[in-house]
Amino acid sequence: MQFETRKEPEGTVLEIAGRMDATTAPELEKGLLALVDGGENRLVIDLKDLQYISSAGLRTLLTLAKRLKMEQGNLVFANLRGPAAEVFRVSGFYTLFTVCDSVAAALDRVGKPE
Amino acid sequence: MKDLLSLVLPARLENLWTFVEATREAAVKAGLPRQRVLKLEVALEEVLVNIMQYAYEGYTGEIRIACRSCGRRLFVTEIIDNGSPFNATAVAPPDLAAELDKRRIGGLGIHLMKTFVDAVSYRREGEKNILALTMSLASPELDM
Repeated sequence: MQFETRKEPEGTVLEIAGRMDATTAPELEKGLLALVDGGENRLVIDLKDLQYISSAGLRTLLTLAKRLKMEQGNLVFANLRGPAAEVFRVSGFYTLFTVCDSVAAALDRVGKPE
Repeated sequence: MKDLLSLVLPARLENLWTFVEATREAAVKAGLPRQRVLKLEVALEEVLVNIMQYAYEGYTGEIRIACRSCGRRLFVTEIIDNGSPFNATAVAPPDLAAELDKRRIGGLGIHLMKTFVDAVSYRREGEKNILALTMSLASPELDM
């Protein structure tokens, strides 16, 4: 489980790769919240290399989203596919979050909080 | 009926992947398609993490996983623990339409588990909780 970040004019893109499960999610959560602590509050999360996510991973994403809301920030997902997409769908996360087909589209959205 | 796996380990998070990888190998051997193996892994993780976190109050008990295939039709994974009585199938799903502020994760893992497997059943035998997850091997379901 690793994530990489890069800054774009519209916001910060995070690429999360590997597995988000009960053993990896806590560490990832710390890293994500540290980003927000550091002032990044327009986040695009690129999930194209996410191979697996369980409810532990969803918990991390939800914690991040709630934190961002407190900072008047915004969170948009991109490239959700495969079993991870199914996990999102079954969990009702598609109605909870904005999910775009590409990072470009997500960056466009993240600058415009609803 | 073919026994494909029997594995007993302490109910600690550090053993999660050993359980999941062993089950994955057995499922692949039985011919479960890849995308469905991934779904079984999620379901299994949800069950195991619940047991590891809640089943044994104040001590580390054990979890046993037994996998078998029935003909070429079914792949069954049984998860057995000796912890407090707990019927995962009786847990209600969380509110899936709640807004961000009210959204909770509690119950979501079990909801994922129930949705991702073809059948799940619970029984209590003496001091044991036995949860059986069944995946159909011959499903015509379209894989993503």
